[in-house]
Amino acid sequence: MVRKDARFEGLPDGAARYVKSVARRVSMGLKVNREVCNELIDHFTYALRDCSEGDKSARAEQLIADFGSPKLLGKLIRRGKMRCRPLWRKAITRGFQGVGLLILLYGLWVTTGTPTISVDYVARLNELARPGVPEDQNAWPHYKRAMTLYVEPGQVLEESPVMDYRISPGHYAQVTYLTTAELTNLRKWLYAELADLTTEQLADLRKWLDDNEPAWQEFEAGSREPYCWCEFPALKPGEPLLQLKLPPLRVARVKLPRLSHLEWLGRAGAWRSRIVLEEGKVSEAVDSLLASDRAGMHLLSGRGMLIEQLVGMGIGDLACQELLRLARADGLAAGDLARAQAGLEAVSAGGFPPLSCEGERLVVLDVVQLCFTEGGPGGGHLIPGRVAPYLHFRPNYPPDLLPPIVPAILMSAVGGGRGETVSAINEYFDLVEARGKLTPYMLREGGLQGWSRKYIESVGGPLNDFVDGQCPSVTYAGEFAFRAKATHEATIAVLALRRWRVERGKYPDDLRSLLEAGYLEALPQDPYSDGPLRYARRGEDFILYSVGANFRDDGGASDPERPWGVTNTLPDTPGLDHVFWPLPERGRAEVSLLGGSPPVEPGRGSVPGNGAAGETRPTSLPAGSQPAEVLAPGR
Amino acid sequence: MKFERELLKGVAPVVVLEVLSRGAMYGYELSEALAQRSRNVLTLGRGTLYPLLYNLEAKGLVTAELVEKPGERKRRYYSITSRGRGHLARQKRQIQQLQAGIELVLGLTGARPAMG
Repeated sequence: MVRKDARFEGLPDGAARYVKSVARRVSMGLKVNREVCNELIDHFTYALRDCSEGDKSARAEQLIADFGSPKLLGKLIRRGKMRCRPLWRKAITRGFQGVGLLILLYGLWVTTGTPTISVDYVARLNELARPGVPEDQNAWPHYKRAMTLYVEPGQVLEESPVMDYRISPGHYAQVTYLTTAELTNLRKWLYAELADLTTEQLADLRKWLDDNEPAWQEFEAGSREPYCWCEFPALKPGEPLLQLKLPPLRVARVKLPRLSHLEWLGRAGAWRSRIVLEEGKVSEAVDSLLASDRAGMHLLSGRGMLIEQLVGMGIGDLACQELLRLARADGLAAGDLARAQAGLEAVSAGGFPPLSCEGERLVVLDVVQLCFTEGGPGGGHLIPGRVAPYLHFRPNYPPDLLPPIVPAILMSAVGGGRGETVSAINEYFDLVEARGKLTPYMLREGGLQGWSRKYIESVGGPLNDFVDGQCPSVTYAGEFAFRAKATHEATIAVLALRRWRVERGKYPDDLRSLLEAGYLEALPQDPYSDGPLRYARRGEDFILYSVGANFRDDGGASDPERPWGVTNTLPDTPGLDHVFWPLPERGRAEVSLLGGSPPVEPGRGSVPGNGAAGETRPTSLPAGSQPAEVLAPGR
Repeated sequence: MKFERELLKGVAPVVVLEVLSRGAMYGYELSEALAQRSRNVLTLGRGTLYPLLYNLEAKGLVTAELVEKPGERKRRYYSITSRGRGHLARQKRQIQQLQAGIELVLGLTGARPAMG
């Protein structure tokens, strides 16, 4: 039944349906369709005007038969009406069709293509890391064996405070992402003692250390070699450097070995040192920690991947933290302290290495050669199907929001060509190398804070998506490297100070005295100011601290929840200083962590800005009082 | 009388223009006029009529306008243009020449259908 329409009034249903069918097939917009409709209605109406009601339907059917197929008629009418269009309109229609065709052809062009893999980036990575010395001076084969021999802890130990944290204390790459609760848990481990373990846990710990003795021997042997480089295995043709089945890290694994095993062996070194220290074997304790520090430095200075350097940073930082704990022990001989100091100084004899992202550069360039064609306009275009899997690495791009192929196609269609992309990547990494040598203070003074993220965001258009997804943002990694350096130098300084006290009865007035007397080769530098770390004698003790990430001297007041001051997890909450010494007392740390009563107010005495190198005036705290800690807001 | 489709194909535009040269008509009126004047020799199928009219309109040989006469529906009337008249004249000359040649070949003589 045809819907009631006043225009069809009087027409048999069959005729009305036919007219509507034809008009629908003309399909040229409402106005034209109505015209055709009206004309056909008129024809039928006039043709049926002399028919009786009973004959109308039959006559209408004859007319319909004469008109023929509505599909054909609609098509012919449409053709005729199209020809009636003015020239300008035809030109516009053809123009749009032409543009559509070009877009289609362009789409075919950008979505197809084969990459040309012409550079062996694995070989280049290996060349980058190799120092050009005989293989027998390489620590890596030892570490490789150590990782193979490593034994996982048993269940009891897994659930103990020994293992009750997810990352090593110094693994700065992930400290950034810890919640406050996790950071609290982390510091609980730092301040845990052997006495905190149950008998069962202690037995399990000893067993774990014994099981890992062969691994430890390899680890320790490797740490004594002068160099360390890892030879990455050759990849199969077309196999990418970047392995994709990983958590969203912006670094490549390049078939990395089990670095976590090395990390755990570093921790094993820390527990070994604690156990033997309780047995009075100071030299052994020092040796264990120095082995860890050397191994950490191997990874940090090896010019490998960013993740290797960060792991090395963590291992080395852990060793320094433990050496500080060891230095706190009563009754240490000057010789032991000197030995520990000399060991640390030897590790960084060539200078504490800055972070290097050259390995990352090669990986990203490898991604380019896997995802771009070579030659043609722009040097080659992005192949969407090739780059889509790498887009999972974008933290602002959840894969379940849009299939990665969609932005991949956009990037390919309107993004930069291969030449432009490679230029942007090389420019970025050149800046990383240059600015990696600048301390956080220098970056701040130069208005370059957060430069890495800002630079990536400044890369225009869809090219930004590619660069953002592949290039690591080194804003925090660079800062962490300088913190690790400061910790290393602070530990050396603390050992020197402790030795001074053992030999001379009390601490010096300033750090320069250590230099002049030959106890120290160089002053420890503060990454957050333009001078050395702050030092002050406080009664029978001393304080050594960095002004922290707020770049402000808070007189040595620190917040255990934010050890270096402001972090990116709490960017709007001002932090305080980072105190290397004195270490928090176990009891006070536990009280503060468990929300006990606040300790003595921080010393905010008349501390000048940068006075003499390493020198600060003593605060107004009473003699013999312990340095204060400030609880986190709200406690 | 049913003619070969291809034979009629070429003359349809000419006869339509010729009928319209006598006065403006609407679609149905045109098809009736054509049948009447050809004494039902030439009948334009309904399915051909309107596409033909639109094509002629596109070529500028006819023009169409909506006219509302008292007591009647608004209709689309077609009328020949000057360009259409010129085209019609040329086509008529060609048909006459063709007709003469065919008659000579086929040996036809005698009465011819009125060309109006």
